[in-house]
Amino acid sequence: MKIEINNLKYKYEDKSRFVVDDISLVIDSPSWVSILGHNGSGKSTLAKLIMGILEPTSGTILVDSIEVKEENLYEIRKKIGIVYQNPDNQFVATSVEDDIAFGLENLCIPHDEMKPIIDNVLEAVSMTKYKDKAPSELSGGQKQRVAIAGILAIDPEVFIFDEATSMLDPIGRRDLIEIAKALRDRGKTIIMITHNMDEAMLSDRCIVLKRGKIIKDDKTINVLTDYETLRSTRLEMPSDLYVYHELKEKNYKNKEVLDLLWESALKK
Amino acid sequence: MGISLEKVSYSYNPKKKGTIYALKDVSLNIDSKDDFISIIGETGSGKSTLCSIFNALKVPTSGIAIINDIRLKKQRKRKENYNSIRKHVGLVFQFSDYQLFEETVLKDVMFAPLNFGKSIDEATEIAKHALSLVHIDESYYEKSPFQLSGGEKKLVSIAGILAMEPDILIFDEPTAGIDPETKRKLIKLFKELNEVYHKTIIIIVHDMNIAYDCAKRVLVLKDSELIFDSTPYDLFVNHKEIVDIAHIDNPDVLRIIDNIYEKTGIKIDKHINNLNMLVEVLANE
Repeated sequence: MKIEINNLKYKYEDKSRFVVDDISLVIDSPSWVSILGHNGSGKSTLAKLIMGILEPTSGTILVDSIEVKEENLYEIRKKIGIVYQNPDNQFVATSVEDDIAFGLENLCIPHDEMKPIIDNVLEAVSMTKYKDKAPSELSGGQKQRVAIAGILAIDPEVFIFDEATSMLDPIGRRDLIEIAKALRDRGKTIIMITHNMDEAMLSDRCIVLKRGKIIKDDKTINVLTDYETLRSTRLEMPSDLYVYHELKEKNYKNKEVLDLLWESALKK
Repeated sequence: MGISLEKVSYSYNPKKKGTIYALKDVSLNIDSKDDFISIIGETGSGKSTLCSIFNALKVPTSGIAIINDIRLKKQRKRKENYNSIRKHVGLVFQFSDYQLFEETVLKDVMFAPLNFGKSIDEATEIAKHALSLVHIDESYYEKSPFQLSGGEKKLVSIAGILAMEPDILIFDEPTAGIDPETKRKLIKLFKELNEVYHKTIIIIVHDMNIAYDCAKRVLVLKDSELIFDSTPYDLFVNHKEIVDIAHIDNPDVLRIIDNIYEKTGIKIDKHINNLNMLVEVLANE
């Protein structure tokens, strides 16, 4: 399966500028892709277009050869799931269990088949003991884990994480990353919109957006060592690479230390 | 002045079986000048509850909380006293950038001083000064908050709190979901407010790089209790067991220093707060 985006443009009704400005790209499955860019670069709008939440001004998106548009959304949602930044906008039911059941009901899964799925996905996000809790009893990070469980329950091919870790504590973040790695190992495609460069390091490919256009699309290591691109998009290097780069700039000579920084940057 | 807590607890649903504590037996003192504190701990450990008490948004269910010389009590009749606490201790919420509501940036920042009884002229002066502190210049005064970028909104929302002229400023997860550039600006701003304007800064952060870079003191919460109160150096260098049990990440700069020592034997003093200082030290080695 693949996601194919052709000459995609989008502008909000009251604005003259295209937030997504003639983007074409193909994302093959399985793969792990990071989408990077400054606030306002069009990252999240692109995700919303792929999910069919926004309608393109022009251009097309094909998911597994099905065009993303109103009448196909039911099919599309079985193929792609999205986890947003703010967990409060994703909770629909009055308990954790019901929230996940809600998504399954929409897919017409029989009730007796729901329970093992729900148990399974709550286990995967370490939320089993919160099964009966109301959203108001959960912290932001915990709600986010439930949102991820909700997507896991539908088990789509592609998972989009729209800054999904940015509100989680270190444990929540690590858990989510572990979940993403496990998904990748099961052949799923991960599209991660992020500001976190350590997360970006985990991907095979990075796409950098600036003012709605793709300005760089390459292997992750090539993008994250491209100082000019990062600077012009106001992104930062992962810490080890940053120290490596700065030392090189200062003509630092100890090869042992430089190699060490380089290796530990790649190891992540 | 300042904040003083003695065995403060906050519990909810007390009528249900088994009281749930959001905060348990916390004792601490915070000066109203010059301190820089990071509150760290995992999700649900009580960080936000603690800050709500600092700001008198929540009143302890037991223990003594004295803020700006006023003791917090349940069902207090004279609410105006709590206003003086909120002037003394300003709280910037996590999504403060979504809370701008006036027609223009200047009006938004003037809201608090007007609300506290200042004249329009006075409020304008205060708002302009507050905006200058966050480096938002005159060209923004008449803009609608909706025209601003996410980072600019964040800065304006901070100016809105600064306009209350607090001595202590609390930031709840100020850098969560913020782009790297705005994050750098915020870190610079926190340091400036602390070093130049002598404000006490309290930040709730999950990013240990920021805690290690900025804070003079860290409070670590675990399961609603305060389990550590000392310097970041003391925490990350001398008390690794606390780092482990509270599930805290190590700051990158310390991780890199450890890694270099382990593999090359080069020993670097850990009184280094950030990556730029590390680069300097290595380059001058």
